[in-house]
Amino acid sequence: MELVARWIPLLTALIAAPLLRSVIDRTKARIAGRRGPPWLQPYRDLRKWFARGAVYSETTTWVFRVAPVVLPAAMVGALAVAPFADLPSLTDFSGDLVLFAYLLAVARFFVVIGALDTGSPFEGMGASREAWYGALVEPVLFVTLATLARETDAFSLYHLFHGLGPEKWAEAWPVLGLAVISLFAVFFVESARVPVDDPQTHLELTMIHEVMILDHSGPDLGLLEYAHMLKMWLLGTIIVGTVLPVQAGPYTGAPGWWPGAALAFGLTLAGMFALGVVVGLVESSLARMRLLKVPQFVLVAGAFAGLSLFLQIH
Amino acid sequence: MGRDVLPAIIFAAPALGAAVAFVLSSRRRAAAAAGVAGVVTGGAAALGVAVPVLAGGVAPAAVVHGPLGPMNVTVDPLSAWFLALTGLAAVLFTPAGMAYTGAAAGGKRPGMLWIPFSTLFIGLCGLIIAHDAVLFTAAWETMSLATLFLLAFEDDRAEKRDAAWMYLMAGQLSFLPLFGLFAGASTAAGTSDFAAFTTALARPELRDWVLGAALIGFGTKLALAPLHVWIAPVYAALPGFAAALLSGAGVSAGLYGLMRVLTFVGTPSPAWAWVLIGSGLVSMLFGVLMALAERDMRRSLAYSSIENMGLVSVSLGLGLLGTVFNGPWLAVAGFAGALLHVFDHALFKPLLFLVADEVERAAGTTNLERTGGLMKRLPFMGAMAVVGCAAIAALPPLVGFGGEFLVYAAAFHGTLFLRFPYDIPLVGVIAGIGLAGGLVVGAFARWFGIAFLGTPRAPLAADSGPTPFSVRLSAAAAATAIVAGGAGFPWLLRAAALPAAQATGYPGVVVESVIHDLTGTLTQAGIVGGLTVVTAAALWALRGGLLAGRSVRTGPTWGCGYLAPTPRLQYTASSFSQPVTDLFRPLISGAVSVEMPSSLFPEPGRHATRYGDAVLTRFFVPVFFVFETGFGLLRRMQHGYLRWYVLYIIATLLALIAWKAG
Repeated sequence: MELVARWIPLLTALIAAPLLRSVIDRTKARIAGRRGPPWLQPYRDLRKWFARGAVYSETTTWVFRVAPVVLPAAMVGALAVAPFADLPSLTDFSGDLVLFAYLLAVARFFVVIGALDTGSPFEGMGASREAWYGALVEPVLFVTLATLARETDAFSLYHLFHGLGPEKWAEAWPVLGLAVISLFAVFFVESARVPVDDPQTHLELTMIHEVMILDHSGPDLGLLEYAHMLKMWLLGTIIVGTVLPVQAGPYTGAPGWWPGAALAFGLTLAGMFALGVVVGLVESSLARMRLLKVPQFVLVAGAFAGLSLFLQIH
Repeated sequence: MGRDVLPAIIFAAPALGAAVAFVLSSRRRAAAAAGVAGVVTGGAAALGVAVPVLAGGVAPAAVVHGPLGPMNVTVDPLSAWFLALTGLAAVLFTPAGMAYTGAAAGGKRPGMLWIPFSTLFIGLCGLIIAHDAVLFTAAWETMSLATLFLLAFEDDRAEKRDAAWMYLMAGQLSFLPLFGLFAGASTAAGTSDFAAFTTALARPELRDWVLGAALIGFGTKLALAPLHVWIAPVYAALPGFAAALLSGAGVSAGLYGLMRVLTFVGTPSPAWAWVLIGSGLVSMLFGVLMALAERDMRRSLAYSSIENMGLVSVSLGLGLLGTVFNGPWLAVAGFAGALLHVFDHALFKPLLFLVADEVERAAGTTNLERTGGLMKRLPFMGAMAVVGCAAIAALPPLVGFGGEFLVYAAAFHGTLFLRFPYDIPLVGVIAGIGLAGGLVVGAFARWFGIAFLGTPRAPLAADSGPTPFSVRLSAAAAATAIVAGGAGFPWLLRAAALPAAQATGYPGVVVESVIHDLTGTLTQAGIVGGLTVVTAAALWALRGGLLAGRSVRTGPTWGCGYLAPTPRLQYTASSFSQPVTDLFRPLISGAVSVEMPSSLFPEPGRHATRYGDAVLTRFFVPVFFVFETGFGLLRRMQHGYLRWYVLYIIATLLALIAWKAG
């Protein structure tokens, strides 16, 4: 039975990740005075892409065809170690947060070389930006995770979030609060949302993620978009896991465990919904930053992470 | 009988091969084959000697009789690790030397190449198993001079001569502190045997001098910043398979020396650990920034070696912190991380040098700005390049990830284990490794992507033919080792248990339990990596199934509607790394020169960026210039007047007589 419980985070992500995007889109639409796309629109988009044929550029090689396959696989690998709602992930071991960060790096490497494969200056531009911002965000992510690890004395993502319960928040809320801010910054950079990147524009000045996948079509585009949704869900679970001190408790196998776990699960789903609303609000109220300002943005996030570490020492 | 013959084969086979190659000089392919066979046999023998020791067997020992008396030769676990590494690098990469004949060798005779190459291998193995200061320094110098002659093989080209000079300077200047270290240690101990050094050098007043000399001497070999300036011109000047052995096994000799000296001094002051960590971090960041700025593929690889060795140094420093503050977990993780990362490096760096050689053959140049689209011409090497670049970026599930994981594990553990204020710098270390690691991913996406993907930015070489079989064999063997090493990383870690135990000085039981912990976590990481690979394969099949029977067309690159791209419009290597190189311009001596058109009508403009090694141009070159002008004053004595020379001789004789008489 424990094995069943361990599959819940991964399956939830695989099924519900597109919903996060529809929450964000509908929030933005509501603020703009519209009703927004239907809730299941991302699923319809995925079905549309998977139903189509494909056009490949003559310049591309097998690298271009491998990238859309590696990205969702890397996200699935990262999901295998990311817990949800204090339920244990598929596997957890000391140091799995390093594997988590490096699986994101695998995705970044392959999407960058896939973009370079097209020989288009547009995609090369996106590849260059993605490589740089991804490299900038990694130390911030590591410092924040290191701070949280020191706080909870755990190097495994599941044990880390398990330790961030209500009593931990009560005693160390400045540290955790600053860590959450820096995690939000990491979220915005890695999932390419406003103010770092605008997912709805196709203007040269404003694209990072969208520009790298311009030449993919059909099922390839569907796989890449799905991988992007999974990445957003992943980073969202990290934030919600830190903010919401739900405790399901370790799996005991007793029938009394399931109601508590279901409550934690429901609360975390609500937390993900709230995260989507917050991201939608931020996207509606901020304009996209000038690209030259993005490193400063990441540096500020790093400063928050450093400050949270500093507060932890004292 | 068999066990005794193997160590002799390590040295005899390459020597024999080189002799045969020299004799057969005019028959190029036979000569190359003899040279290759000699070194590969020696490498296999090295593996045969080293692997049983790592598995727990008895350490073979012998006594060599030299001019200064008997000299001890032992293959203890620490030596065995590096001997296995050297042997593996030789076996995997020397076969590619078969392709270096005829036109590729500039028309030169291979005999003159295989003598220094075999000597290099013999010197490397010799210094690793020498347990005597005299033998060690002799083998070290043999290795240095052999590399010098390798570099001088094509001395008709100016940049190769410059590289040879640079290597000579760096090698000899770094040898001075080593010579002083070993001579002083022999005097202090009364014998040149390593076994006696442990007690003799454990005195606190000697420790710092010993470590300082070792850090300068071995640190230069390890290319730690700021002693790294020799590595880029040297690696750029060597043929692929020679650069392979040097970058794989040569730099690891520096780590071996450092670890051996650390076993002599016991427990040094923690400042040395911080020096190692600090210089390692500086090396990492400087190395990757220069790798991002460099346009030449081989020089970029050389600078990325600086980054890799910086990580090794950080790991060594973390291990040293563990021994100093009595934390077995930190010590074992740190030392094992250093050992394993230098092993990983010996697998993927040489592979990339072979790829660079093939790029030069197909495109006529290794300048990234004039390559592109080579995947269509070199499909096999391109695939090998993906494996090599993914490995060097430490992407799971390949072998590079395990080494980097160990360093992170040690650093994270250190932040909890060490008391304030030592835990804070370790979070900075984690951030530094994270930044460098992220930049390396970008650097090698650039290295591979600009050269192999897209369309050619300049015309390729007219008829370069397919990749030679020997190069394919070496590359495929290396790629297989990288994938197998990634899958079997827990076994590699277990093989490093004995060397780590010897280096840390902790009892075997303690070390075993730490290694057990680490192999457990790495096995689970490997399972997740395997899950990723299986998912990718399943998605590939799914996509294939979905597209079967549907319209799958090809066309020009869409690029959001820009249907007339030319190859010159693609992103170049410099434009790819421009955000990084712009931000860190002072560190990499970057200069931008722009000439904008000034009149109303279109006229040519120019934009050029140039990067250089700041340490070389701002420190070493001025310092050497001072020495040159200073010693240049002595040239006044070389005026050519014979009468004055006779006067010098008479004056010296009179002075000597006066000194002897008085």
